[in-house]
Amino acid sequence: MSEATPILELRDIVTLYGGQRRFLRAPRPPVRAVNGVSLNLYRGEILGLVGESGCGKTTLGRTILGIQRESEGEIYLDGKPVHDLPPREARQKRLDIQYVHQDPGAALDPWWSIGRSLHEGLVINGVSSLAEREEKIDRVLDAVGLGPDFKRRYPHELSGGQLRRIGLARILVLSPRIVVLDEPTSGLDLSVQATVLLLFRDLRERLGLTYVFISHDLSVVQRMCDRVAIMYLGKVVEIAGKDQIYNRPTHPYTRALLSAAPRLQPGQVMDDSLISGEPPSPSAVPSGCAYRTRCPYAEAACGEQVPPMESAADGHQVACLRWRELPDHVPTDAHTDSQSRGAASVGGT
Amino acid sequence: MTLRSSDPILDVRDLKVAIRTDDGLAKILDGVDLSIGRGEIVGVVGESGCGKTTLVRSILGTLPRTARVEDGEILFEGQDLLTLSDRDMTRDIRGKRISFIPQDPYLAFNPVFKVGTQLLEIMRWHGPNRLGGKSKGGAGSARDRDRKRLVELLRFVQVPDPESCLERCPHQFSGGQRQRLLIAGALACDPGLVIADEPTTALDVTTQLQILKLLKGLADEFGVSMLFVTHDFGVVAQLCDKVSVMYAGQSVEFGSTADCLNNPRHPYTQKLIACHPDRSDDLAGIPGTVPSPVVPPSGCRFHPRCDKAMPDCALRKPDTTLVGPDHRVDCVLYQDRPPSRSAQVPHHV
Repeated sequence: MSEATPILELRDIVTLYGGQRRFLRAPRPPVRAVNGVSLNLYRGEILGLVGESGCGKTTLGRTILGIQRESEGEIYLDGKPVHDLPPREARQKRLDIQYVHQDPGAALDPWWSIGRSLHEGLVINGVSSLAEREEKIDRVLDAVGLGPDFKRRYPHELSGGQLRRIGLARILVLSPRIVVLDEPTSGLDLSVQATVLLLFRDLRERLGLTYVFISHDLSVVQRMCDRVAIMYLGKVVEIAGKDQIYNRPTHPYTRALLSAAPRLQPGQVMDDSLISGEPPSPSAVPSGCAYRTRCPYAEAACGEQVPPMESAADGHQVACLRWRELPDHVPTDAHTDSQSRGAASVGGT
Repeated sequence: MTLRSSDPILDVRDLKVAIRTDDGLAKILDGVDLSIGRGEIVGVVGESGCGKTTLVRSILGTLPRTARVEDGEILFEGQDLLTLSDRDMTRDIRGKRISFIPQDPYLAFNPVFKVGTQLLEIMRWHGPNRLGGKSKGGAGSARDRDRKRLVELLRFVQVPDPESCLERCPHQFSGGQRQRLLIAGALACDPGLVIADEPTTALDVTTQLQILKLLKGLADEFGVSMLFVTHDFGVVAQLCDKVSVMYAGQSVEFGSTADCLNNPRHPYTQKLIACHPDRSDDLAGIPGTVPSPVVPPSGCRFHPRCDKAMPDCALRKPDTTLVGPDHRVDCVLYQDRPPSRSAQVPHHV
């Protein structure tokens, strides 16, 4: 897969928020929400974007889409540059990329029928014929497993799972090739979550979609994604294939996340030796490696140098100065074998 | 009774609660059983709308005005809470002997008062020698003693710099810190039982692990029992000794965490656990939706969605059956006289 040209390529993307010049005072520096991210997205894959709140996952998603303008860096869609454009033009060039909002209940207008919300996107994108719009909408509603009678309904009449489907239908009418799914299952019950995830998989097969899957649920990401990028304070600290991330996590932060994630395995030992404190504020990112303030393996050198992305294995990149010296990660059974039902305990690292 | 653990601190028996709505009487709880032994952490799991929150509110005596307890008992240390007056509940039980950790640490504090004021208020209301009791004298005023005890508690829940944090306002704390403050508040009056309603859903996984570890330590250290409401089986696996699974206002299965997660017996528990991304590869989901509490299915409320349903299921609510040591299931499949196989009805959605 790595030889193919990526459908989307990001190079050193930086996205700034805020910043302010103030009268007779020092200017307030902007927050570097995304701080030098390079990623390749290949056709047909599901790339997981994982991290704690405030790490810049959503901002990166919005930057890919073009709603948020990148301050530095380059974006290539099918090898063509689409960066450094004013927002309106950026969206025009990136119509192949669409975004499913985190909370579809809040994203839909409560006074508008579902049909009107679905028409809106098409009208904005210049489909003037009503018949054509109706035909597209009926086809997409069918694809997401809802009937045409949903067009007359209103958002409050729908359940959480149905709202997710409508949120997805709203962008599928625009026939995108890349879909950014922002926390697509947060707030859903387990049984509904399963059906929604199944729908995402099914649509990828049928419509040839490529997903960027933003989530903080490591169990869901393991089930859904082909590759996973772990983000911490605006930077990607590790990116690799799913099995490499879950079986041989290399970056200390990835290990900490995996050991903290609740797994369906009774009797697991709560091992917080890899984790200390809470993430620092994105407006005061530590120098050097941003994770060093919470890292049990941090040294003086970690504060002086920003760790470069290094290749640990084929398709496995990690940004840590000391990744070669770290002790081997002893994974829990749940990470290596999700079907395991034994009450094995977590080995200490 | 053999079905119950000896000397439980809380024993809910056959609780039935109905709430008046515009559409009619909603039977939110229909025969819920739950017992919590001393020092135990019991998880209550179920999908949204299954009555978890109503159960908690019945125990705390904070049901809405439109609700009515139709039947059942809530025995707390041998005393039926349902017979107590509102005044007695407020003075002696709620916040004192049964305390509560809410779901959202951002909403639980009043933003305009200092944290210290709000936490000390709990002790002023409920602490010893209040409301007409005799003062024991000793060093300093009651207020000073409360303060000293609170600082000790804050030290236990690992809030940095506990002395000065009493003088700060809620917005100056992060989500994890606020949850720690609330835990300290819940412990302030030496409760016998702490009820936690999804206390970690608003937190990141690394913070969640730290809070869960704290709660576990607290159960060991202070010997308090805990009722932990959640929808996340992973958290249950990490924290709870026992788990009670609820569906549409009925308790369907109760047993040790290992039994319920590794060897679930009730068809609903089996299906729900099979939806968890750690267990299922095909992400099947459960066909159908949770029934409306206004017109619930007769008998076992799961029977319309159950692929093992028999004619008996619709006729009456199944008896509680012991299927292992301390493992109870409410399902016809496990009753003493199993109905003949030929009586199975075809599954319909």
